[in-house]
Amino acid sequence: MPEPSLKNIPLGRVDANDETFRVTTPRRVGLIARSLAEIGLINPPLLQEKEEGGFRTISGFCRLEACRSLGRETVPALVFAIGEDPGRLALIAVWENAVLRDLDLMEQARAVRLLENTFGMERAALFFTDVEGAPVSPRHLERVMGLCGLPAAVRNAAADGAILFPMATRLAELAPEDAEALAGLFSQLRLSLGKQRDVLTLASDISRRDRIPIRWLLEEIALHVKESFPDADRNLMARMLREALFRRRFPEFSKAKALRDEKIRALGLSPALGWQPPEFFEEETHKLTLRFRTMEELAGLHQQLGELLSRPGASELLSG
Amino acid sequence: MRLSQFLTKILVDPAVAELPETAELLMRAAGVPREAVESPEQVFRLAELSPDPEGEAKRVLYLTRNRGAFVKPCPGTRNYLCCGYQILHVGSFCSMDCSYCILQTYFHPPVLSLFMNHRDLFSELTRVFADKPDNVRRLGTGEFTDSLLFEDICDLTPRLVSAFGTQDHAMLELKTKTVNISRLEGLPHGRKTVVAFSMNTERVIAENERRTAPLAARLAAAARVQEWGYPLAFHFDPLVFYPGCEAEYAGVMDSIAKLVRPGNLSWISLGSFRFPPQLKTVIERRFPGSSITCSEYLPGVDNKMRLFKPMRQRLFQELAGRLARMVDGLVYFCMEDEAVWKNALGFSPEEKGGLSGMLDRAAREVCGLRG
Repeated sequence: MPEPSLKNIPLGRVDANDETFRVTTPRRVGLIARSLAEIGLINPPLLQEKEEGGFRTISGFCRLEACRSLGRETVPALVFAIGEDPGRLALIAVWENAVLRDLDLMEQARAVRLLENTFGMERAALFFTDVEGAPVSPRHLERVMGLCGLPAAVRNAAADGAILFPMATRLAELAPEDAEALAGLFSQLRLSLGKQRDVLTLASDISRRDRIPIRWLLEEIALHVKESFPDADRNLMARMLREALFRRRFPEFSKAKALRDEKIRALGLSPALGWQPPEFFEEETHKLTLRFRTMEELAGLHQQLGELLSRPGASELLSG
Repeated sequence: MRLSQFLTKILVDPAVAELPETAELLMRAAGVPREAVESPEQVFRLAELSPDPEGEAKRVLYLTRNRGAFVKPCPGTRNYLCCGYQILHVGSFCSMDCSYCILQTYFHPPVLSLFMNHRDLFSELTRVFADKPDNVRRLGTGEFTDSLLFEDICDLTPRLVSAFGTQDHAMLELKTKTVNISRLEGLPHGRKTVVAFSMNTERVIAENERRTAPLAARLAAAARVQEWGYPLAFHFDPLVFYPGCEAEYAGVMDSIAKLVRPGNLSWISLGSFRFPPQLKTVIERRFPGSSITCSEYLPGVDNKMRLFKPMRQRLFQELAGRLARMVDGLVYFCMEDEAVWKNALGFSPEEKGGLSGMLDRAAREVCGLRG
């Protein structure tokens, strides 16, 4: 098996657009550049000569990017010959990354796709099992590889952990522009997976019902929230956004609930006496809760209950 | 639709392979490839391997044996008033494809199957006919499948209609979205079979009911079976809410009112669309353009998603009120609570002997049942 030879390669001859063997997500290029400036290149990138001239990268995309950012003209690299076995190169590209750190979601997707293209599904599954520590189904692998076709904003959000695999696969089912809009929002607000699911479900339902693209809907609602709460922090923004989506998704229910909540507030009950109406208006049964520590407190609540019976607001609540 | 032209395969359980009914069916479906299967698991796997298991299951018919009871109570849910209908379980699932069909999630996995042990079925029916409790019995084959789906390959419906025609204590309801009525002509039904059509607006049918008969064809079929002496029933279930739906439903109701002869309508039911939460995922996957689940559906007491109650009540008030004024026959709600009844029709079924009793009375009057 011919070994690569160490050569000094002009950076301009390395094809930056050839991503055949890319696994790594472009990140921390600035930090790598600083380390290169201080201690030099310890671990040379791996390249392969191309038949049409120049070189393609096998491993070391970020290091090469850092060299470019420093204005370097040449870079020392381990260079494989033109005829090198593509399978060997694919394995090198994958393992070079996988043994050094945990691969992010997009890196896993690229690695699996590279192995599947080169060796077939079985080898890809074996690799994924090694990385994940548990066997996976071919269907799951298809979905993982499908992430490579996502729009850039979604891939970036998946790579930096702002969206997890279950959400990424759901975004893959949407129009690219809608997926990008949601990925951007999730990256900005750093929502948990559960809240992301809520937002996606609400937005998709409204979109289908009102025949409006999700991206327009989100723009409209985000604008409204920003205007209403210009100083809102990320958490408040997230809450307001979800509430606004909910109100748009369930307008009649939201109105009725707000009206009912207002009626309950108007009863002026003490915090120790809680009126719980049926949550979704489906049942007829309301509940009252009493909180007390002493007989005196209970007697106070007893008196409040007596007064409650004569208030018209209470019977209005019961009649809906 | 002719089922024999739609099926891609017939799978045969060895337990029914030698039955004359099976041989007859296979002869009628001569062009459909058939295969013996040793276990139901083989059938399940076949559907499960497909990217669209529900769709695949609609094209493969499994002939098997009903190992349980043929007559069973309708699985009504708690907290809502059930009509007391009994299911005559002759087969499961359907080859028509309605987005809202609960059977997509009711069976795991769904398999289009037809029970071929008809001798057991008729033995059980004979016992049902002989057992005469105080109230009458209302049975139907349209709960787990469409009552007239198998007409081009199976003789069961004509045999059932004739059997019910021999007695006067039980009635059979055939519930359908097809117009496969030709084999009902000339049968000795004795008015003990009610032919019921599932109705909806043209829009709902076009968007959500694949391979079903168009609305006009259903109405024409209803008129035809009425000519043959059959009592009629109509089911608006599910009523699907969308802006302007009230006027469109009212139009369909007007058409019904025009065609039904006095004294020949058993009942009309109204049931607003309700679904277990998991059905939404299936609908979104199988009917990506459908917005049927996007109205204000909220969890009901039975854990099914239901249209927000005040909206449902308004819809019922308008439509049930209209029907009650227009037609001579019982109008009832399927799986609703007393509050909805009172709000829409001004009374609770309890005041009229209960929902089941109301339907029993209608069955006595229209079908001439005794008991």
